[in-house]
Amino acid sequence: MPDLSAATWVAAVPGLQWRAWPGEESAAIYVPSSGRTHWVTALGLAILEQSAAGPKSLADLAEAIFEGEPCAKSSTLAAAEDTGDPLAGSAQGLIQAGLLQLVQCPSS
Amino acid sequence: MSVQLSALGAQAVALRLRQPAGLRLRTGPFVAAVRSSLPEVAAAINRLYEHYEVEDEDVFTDFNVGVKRPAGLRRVWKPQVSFVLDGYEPFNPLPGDQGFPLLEWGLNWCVYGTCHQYLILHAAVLERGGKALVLPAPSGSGKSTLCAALMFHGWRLLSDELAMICPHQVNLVPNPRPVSLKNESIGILSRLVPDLQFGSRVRETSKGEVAHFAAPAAAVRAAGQRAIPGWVVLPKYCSGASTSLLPVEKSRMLLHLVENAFNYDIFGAAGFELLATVVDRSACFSFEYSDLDEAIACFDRLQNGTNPSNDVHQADAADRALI
Repeated sequence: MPDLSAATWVAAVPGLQWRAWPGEESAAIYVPSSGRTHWVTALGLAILEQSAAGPKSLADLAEAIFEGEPCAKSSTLAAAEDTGDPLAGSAQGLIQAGLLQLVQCPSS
Repeated sequence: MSVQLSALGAQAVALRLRQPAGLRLRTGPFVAAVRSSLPEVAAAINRLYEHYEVEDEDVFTDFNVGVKRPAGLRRVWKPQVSFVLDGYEPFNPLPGDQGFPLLEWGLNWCVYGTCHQYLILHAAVLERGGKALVLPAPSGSGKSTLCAALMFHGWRLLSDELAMICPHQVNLVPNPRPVSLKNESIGILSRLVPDLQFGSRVRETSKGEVAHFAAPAAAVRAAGQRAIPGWVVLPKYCSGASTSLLPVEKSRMLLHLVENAFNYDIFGAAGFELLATVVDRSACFSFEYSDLDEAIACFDRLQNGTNPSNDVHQADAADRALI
């Protein structure tokens, strides 16, 4: 899993403001275009970071995010169809919040 | 020139309340022109606002409010009361004995609905050592009970209901007004503070039984002294629960503040930055309690900078997952 410094890329996404604090894994993100504020976990931030380059499947996300963590990777991949999978759940939350679309297409 | 309400005398207060200019009551940074011919409202104002300043008629007023009996036959067989703002009635009338609570609720509504020079949270605020303790929470969480207990044990009341944050100075603006307690909280606080006098007590409101008691005179006199952010604590009364104070991630607390803000949307990105700054400058906790004596001791330790609880736990990881 990435550490909090991975979230610094969020600052480069047009239309997003964010705040995070040392020692914490999550961040608060404000979307000026919608006026909404979101709390995003380290996993959510990792998904956003990986997705910024373009759409990815859950398997690709798991591969990228859990690289070097074989146990976490295999369990996540095995549960890819499981709605209780934290990766799928987190991605779903990001889609509902509109954040995934924003990082993939910042001008939208 | 202003004069303390108690110096006017009950008769003069009642008379001003009946006049077109109203009673010009200063509460914190605001002046409200209050009108009412209802004796019970005048009596409650005399008891609960005795330490407040009353301004002259030529002083600018932020709100022109009143409580009156609506016209019609109901005046006779089932009296009601209406809240009036600038000549119109924004709410449905309430049963006739709820005049003073309605005035208080209406004044709160005026503040959070119109005073957008401040970012306003649904939160109690107290101060000690120049630092503000912000207790954001929805109704029914035990926020007012805890606030009332702390204000009798070394903490200065800024507000039991509305935290007003100045966006320029990033500090908390006092607006101490009568403190409202509901249902079981009334008995709980009466046991903690046996000589506590309630200036207004009404049963069968939409919130159950509601009682108001006066803000301490010292808090009213110090209403010009703002406080810098010190602590943000999410309170929760839970019958039988042991006292526990848990650290909360600042990013998570920021979202709690957003959820408890009345006018965050109006501030937009500036509101996000403002609340982030408040959180940044505060220690953030969640607090569960059932014993007020333990709660008071815990907040004493928090203010002293010592370990506030023997049962301080790290926030559970499961509590962190949102998206």
